[in-house]
Amino acid sequence: MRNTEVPLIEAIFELRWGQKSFGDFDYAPEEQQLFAMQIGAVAASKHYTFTELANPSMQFLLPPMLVSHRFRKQSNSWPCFQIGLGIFTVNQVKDGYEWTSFKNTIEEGLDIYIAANPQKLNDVQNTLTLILRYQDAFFPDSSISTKQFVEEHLNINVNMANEFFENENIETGFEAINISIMTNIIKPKGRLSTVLANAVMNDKPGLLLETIVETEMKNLTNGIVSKENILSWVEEAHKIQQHSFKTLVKESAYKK
Amino acid sequence: MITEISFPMDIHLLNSSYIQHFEGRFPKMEKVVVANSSSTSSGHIFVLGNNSINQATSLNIQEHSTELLLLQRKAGWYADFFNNANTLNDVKTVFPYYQKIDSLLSDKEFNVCDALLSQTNTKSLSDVLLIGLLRLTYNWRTKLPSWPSLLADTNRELLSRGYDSKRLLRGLI
Repeated sequence: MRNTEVPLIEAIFELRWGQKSFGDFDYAPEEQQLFAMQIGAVAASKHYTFTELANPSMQFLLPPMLVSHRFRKQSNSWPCFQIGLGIFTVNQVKDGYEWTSFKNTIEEGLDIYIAANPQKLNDVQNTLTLILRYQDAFFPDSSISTKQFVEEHLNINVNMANEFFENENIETGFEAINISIMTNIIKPKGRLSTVLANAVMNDKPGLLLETIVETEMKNLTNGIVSKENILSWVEEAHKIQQHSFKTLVKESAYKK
Repeated sequence: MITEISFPMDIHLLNSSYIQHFEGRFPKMEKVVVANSSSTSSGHIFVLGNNSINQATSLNIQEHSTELLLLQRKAGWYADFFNNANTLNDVKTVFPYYQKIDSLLSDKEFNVCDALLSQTNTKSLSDVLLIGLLRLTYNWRTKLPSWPSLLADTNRELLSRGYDSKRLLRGLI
């Protein structure tokens, strides 16, 4: 269970499907609009009646893997569910986050997905990817550089040779960073991506640390797609997330 | 980050070498999606970042850019402006923002104003702002490198909304 004092901004569970290979997508005709409507209808039956467009500027052009609609119980409330072409997410922000509760919401999201189309999980299993994503945000004081903050408060080593900065035409220090490190995971079988990037979060500039556990469903040992299998995966993925946070973030990063 | 590139040609003219051209330009790109707008003959290429930060979030998270950092420091009202841009449709609601933009120009903060223009998504602008932003900044366009791109985007957006763009942009083109 994650300590609610930690700098979590959002935890996200994702189902992604439809990409057969790089840049090659395949979706059934009803995916474009109908499935989103079905998700919305089932979500509404569970009191997630507040619907909004997630990306209004793209409402008529739906690229894959971009959420188009968001469903909440009321305005500006969480948890929420999102649907787009080839993507379904369960989102929970820091306020109200607690692991057991979030896992229950993921189960509720899976119930919505299955109720919208009971055959869907099986139909997309060959391209189905499971993702558990945690986003933590840090807002260093303006007197401290990004490089300094990372060195002092995170167990991530980002450095460049001193000689690089000895050029009189290169200013010392980093203006911003954006790095991604990917490692393989044995259990659950898949990949862990750690992203550290300067970002603007709810209009505040800061440093975003994102840890992403990702598994392609076809790599799970028994190849059976069921809600129970997915929830079992979620539990294992969460353990990796806990380990990542504990080992990469010092308490000084978020505790006064 | 998602970059949308619009081009005024029929989708069937797009060939693989054209897509490869964009793949070379955007090294972090994971996907290039070509979508045809049925209402016009123009097409759109969406360049999706590799598992980019804002694909699945329900919050407002934008990857770092020097333009956003500059706006945060020098024009903190930019977020309100962009968040409300599609509802700023009369003099009363638009005027306060026009004043702020005019102040930037009067104070010769051209890089800040240019950052605002470069971050503007014309699809999110009201009809009034779509023309108004260009007219307000027209006299300073030589100091604003993003102005010509904004003009081109505005022209396309006006057409997509069914307007006579030549008439509405008279004096600006």
